Amino acid sequence: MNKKVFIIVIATITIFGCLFYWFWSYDNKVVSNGDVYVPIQPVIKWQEITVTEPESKIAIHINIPRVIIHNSDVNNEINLGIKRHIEYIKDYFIRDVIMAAIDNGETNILNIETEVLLSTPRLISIAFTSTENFTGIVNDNSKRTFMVFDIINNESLKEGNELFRDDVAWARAVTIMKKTILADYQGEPNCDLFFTPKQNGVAVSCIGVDYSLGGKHISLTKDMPISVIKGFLDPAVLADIQ
Amino acid sequence: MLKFVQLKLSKIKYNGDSVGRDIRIEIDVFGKFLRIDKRIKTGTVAEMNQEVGRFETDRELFQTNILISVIEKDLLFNNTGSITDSIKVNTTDNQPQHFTFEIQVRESRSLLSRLFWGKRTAIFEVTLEALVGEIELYTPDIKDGWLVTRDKQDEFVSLPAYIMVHPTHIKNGREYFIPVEGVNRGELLSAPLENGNSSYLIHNVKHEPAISAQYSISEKVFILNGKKYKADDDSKNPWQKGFYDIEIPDYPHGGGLIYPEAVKGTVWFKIGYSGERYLHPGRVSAGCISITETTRWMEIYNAFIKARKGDFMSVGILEVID
Repeated sequence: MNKKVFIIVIATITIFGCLFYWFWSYDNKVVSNGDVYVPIQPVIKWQEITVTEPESKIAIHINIPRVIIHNSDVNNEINLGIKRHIEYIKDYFIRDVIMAAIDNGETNILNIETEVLLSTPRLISIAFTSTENFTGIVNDNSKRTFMVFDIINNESLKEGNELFRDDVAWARAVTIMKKTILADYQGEPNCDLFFTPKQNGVAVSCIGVDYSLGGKHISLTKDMPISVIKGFLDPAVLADIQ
Repeated sequence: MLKFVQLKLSKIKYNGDSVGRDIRIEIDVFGKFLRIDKRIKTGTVAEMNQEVGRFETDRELFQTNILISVIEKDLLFNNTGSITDSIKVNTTDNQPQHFTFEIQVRESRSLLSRLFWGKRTAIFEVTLEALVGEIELYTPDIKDGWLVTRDKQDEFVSLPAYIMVHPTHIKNGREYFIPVEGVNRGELLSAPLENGNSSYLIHNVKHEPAISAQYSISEKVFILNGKKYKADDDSKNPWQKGFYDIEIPDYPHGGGLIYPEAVKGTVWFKIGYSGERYLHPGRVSAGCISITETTRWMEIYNAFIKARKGDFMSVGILEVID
């Protein structure tokens, strides 16, 4: 009798133990599925757009990426951010044509070349190189600006400080990148730094003026190895870039 | 070079016979009219210093007709004299130029009075002063805060709002002018005429006195007119306590475009004359004072943009405190 009771108790404990383990595992699995990001590599499709306005003597050529991430609703945000960035460049070009171009009958041309410098399940990094040719003005006006999108948090990174361990690390990295890009520059530059991560590196530009050249516009660009700022980056971001 | 001629009634000298003491002077020049009453007795000079008008010209000689009337006001009979003449102002001469006109006023009382007192004649010497100067216009406060212009080398130069400029000439649909303040002071720049005929430049801007602001390193707040704004600096590149000039904005800073809520986020104010430390909207700082309350940037912009310290470079003073 005691033996039977003992076997029944053991069997009951085993059954409840199994059930408890199964439920516990099931609950954890559900929670895990909600928190863990399932990485999906974005797909990039390209589109060429040409806008001409003969009356205003303006022609704009743009190659624009369309980012597609399956089973995700961040597509719209990324593509809206790209569109907004291009709109800014376009609007400022048109304003400059109206205000400062010399009307000699020729067409003012804006080219916007877009490159995806990094595309991971976590980050999309895009460079916009805009080249402006104004009629009647001899100029070499090419600027490189950037956009970084955090796919996981569904937001465009404004200053890019989120890529670094903290804001102090960001400030150190910005100072180093600026010194590096200006290292070989002769003159008195006064420029604002822009950067974006790329595979194994960082793309940097510095846009401003040089007062030793009478306030001439300057736009410097440089690709730097990741080693320049490696020590300041967030480990997760570093893993993505390397 | 477009210039202004300011014409002032400088003084009146009362000579000859006395015809009374209550004198009215009326001056009519090129559509401008001044009427002034003065109590003055014969043998004296009255300093007036009253503006008759301000005229714009691009010629070396500003010439116009002038009508001056002097009236001695009586209860029954006014005594009046007037003169029509012309003045020629040399606009290449920046020294005050004086023009004196003599107006005779003959007493015109009743016949009975004339028999007893005879014909009295007063002589008034009316002196006008012409001052020549360059016209002051200002850049407008347009959408993004920058007026795009072109310099002699065909470089684009952006000017912030309310920069005082001296217009020089109009040629091929463009207006040429020289800023008298800011980093582009003294450069010849041009902007197109809006819609082909009207100037982008504006009149009647009154600059405001210099602004005093504070930044507290320990509290991370920017203090302006008693209001506090959350801000940030770089602790590894700290500010030294003390006073710094806040400069007139220099050029559009593209970094401000990422804060569209700041509205004029590309208009940054440089702090101190050297280095690259600015006051601007931003989340983080690599040495500048970044206003992290980016939606309130326009409050700071509006306070600073019209203010002037009087050195042609600054809008105010920043005190950095602990």
